[in-house]
Amino acid sequence: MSTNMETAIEFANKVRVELGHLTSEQIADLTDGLEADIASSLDDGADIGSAKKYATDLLAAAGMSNGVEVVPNAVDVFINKARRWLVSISDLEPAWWIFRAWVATQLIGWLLFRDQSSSPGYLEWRYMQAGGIVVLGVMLYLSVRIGRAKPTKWKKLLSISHVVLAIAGLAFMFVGPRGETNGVDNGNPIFPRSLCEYVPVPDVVGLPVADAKEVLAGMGMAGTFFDQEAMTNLAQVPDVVIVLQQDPRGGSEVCRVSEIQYMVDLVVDLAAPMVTTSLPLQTTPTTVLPEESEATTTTSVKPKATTTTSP
Amino acid sequence: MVNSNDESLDRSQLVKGVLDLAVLSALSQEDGYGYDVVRRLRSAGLVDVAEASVYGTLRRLFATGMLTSYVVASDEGPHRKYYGMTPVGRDSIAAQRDQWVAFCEVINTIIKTKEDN
Repeated sequence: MSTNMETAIEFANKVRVELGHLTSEQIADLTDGLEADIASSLDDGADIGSAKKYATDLLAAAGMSNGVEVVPNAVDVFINKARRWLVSISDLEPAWWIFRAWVATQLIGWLLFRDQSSSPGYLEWRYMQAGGIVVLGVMLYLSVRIGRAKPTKWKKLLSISHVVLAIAGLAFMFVGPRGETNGVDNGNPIFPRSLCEYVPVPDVVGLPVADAKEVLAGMGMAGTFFDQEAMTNLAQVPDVVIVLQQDPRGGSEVCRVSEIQYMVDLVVDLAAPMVTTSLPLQTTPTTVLPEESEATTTTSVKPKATTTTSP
Repeated sequence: MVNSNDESLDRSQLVKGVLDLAVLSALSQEDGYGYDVVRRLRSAGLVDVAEASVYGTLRRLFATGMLTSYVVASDEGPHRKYYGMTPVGRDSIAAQRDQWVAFCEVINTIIKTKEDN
């Protein structure tokens, strides 16, 4: 079927919608064979104008524009409504083009990264956002080109690909987010259970940053630091600052995948007194208080470090 | 060929009055489908006739018995609806043609009289 014929069928349906106040029999009588005539007109390069004007001319010439009292029955009303709905669906075609480009992008992401985890593509693109955006742009371009060109020789192939994309899209939308393989937890990707090694998070609250880093590193973990006041992510934190809070809490079990560091959120207060200490080399660190610059304190620190201050 | 843009007469109204006769005449020699009739009218000089007006006229002439209709299936898409003359249509053409000629004579006479004065 030619592109003009497809356009003609779509246009004829719109004309039928405009004639919706007539009975189905009258509409069929007026528009029977219309598609072929419109397609011929399009083949000649004619401008067919709007469906509304077309329907008005058709009605007037057929002598049905004035004084025609028609009361469509329930079946006619239903058919006209269904036809209107179908025409409105065809108007949504550009939305479908965007959707299928998005699904294709996810599918490519999944195909490229499926060895790294079994999660759907949008998780992987998360770590390659620029790449994902470029691929999405390319997919959008192709989708619109295909949608507008409607090459007839690809029609069967397109129909099959639409089915595949629709199924994949449903999988990404509904299966993915509920599955264990999607999303990010506390800055860490959630991996399939089969890849997980469940380990307890060490309790580093109260430790100086240097020690906290060391303890976490020993468990294959690292810290992401936040300032207590500003709650902003800190690129660099002095080693002597004390860790005030952590997430996940000490002792809780988390999924760790080999060679991938598990990130623990650590809250510090940059304005608080600083401690010069280290673990486990120095068991009696010295604490220097800003307001009492000459005061020194003795602290006994074991794996779970605390700082006690004496006058 | 007659154009509509450079004249003060409302051509669409003129065409409306004689479209039945024009369409019947276009089918008097050979059957044709809707757009076929449009082509015949346009090639004869009625370049600005609206397609939908022709299709509506064909339906009305069919409904009044002046035309017959049949469908020809197509392998490439929807079927075509062809129209042909009926005896009633042929009688009607003859009558309408006489009316048109008489009408033109009257108008020509009026116009000529005005020009002479």
